[in-house]
Amino acid sequence: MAAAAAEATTDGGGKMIILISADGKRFEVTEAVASQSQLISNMIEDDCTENGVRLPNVDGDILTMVVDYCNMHAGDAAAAGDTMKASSTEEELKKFDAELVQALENPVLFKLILAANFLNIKSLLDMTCQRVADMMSGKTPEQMRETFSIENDFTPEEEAAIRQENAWAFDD
Amino acid sequence: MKQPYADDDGDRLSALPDCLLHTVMSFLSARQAVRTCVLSRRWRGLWLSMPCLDIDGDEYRPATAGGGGGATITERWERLENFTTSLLFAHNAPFLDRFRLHLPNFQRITATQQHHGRQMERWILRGFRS
Repeated sequence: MAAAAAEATTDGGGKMIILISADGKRFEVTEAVASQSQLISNMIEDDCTENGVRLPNVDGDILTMVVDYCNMHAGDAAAAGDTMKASSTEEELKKFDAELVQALENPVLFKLILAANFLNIKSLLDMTCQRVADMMSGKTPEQMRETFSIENDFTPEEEAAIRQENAWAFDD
Repeated sequence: MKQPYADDDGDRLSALPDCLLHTVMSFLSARQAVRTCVLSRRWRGLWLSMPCLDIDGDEYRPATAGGGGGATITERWERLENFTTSLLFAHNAPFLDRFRLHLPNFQRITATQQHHGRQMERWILRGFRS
């Protein structure tokens, strides 16, 4: 990973790009890794990554996870012949994704969703949103409120009226 | 609009913008997605405009928890029909990204009783219309 010459090395995996988190942490990644973010991919096309890419709404700890994810997945996105040096096998990827997503807890999970959305990394966004859906699935509304600290701001009468109005979805 | 990074212990889910909540809901069955309407005011009308609808007949299986125990296939079909018709009537997203109608246990009904089969066809056309 730690390529010495950071400039104009188009042969060995492309140029390096510096990503800078909200709290000033710097991450050096290849173009292939970074361009899994559609946002950064567009910036690369427009030639505006020279002085590093500042990501003012992504914290360093979250960007660490994003960069890990993109490093792991660099192979399957850029299937461009020899640039996909030693890309991970499908099984390794599945295991990595499963472990990443399982480990995600409340505040981090949502920060990662916002980061994936801002950076426009569809596979990561889908994976994290799926995780939230899995946490809702099979739960009663009361259990969902508890899981996500959702405050019920309906009066009991209002809530009863909404259930009545949509009784066709609450018929069990 | 709430600040997404405001407090660490708050309700971060409800603080997500509508489009991201719709992405989350796209991984739920339509029935589960509709049921989020009672969570809070924030959630009340979200399902009306969700762009993915997954109508899952597996939720109307013979052994569903509560009430459904000894229901006949006709009774189960009626509940499913009531759900689907109500959903498609109220739902008003300008377009659909995905529409799934999964009726694994109702072939006996949709294949042999014409009016049920036609009902199913109308639902499918609704999926195409948008």
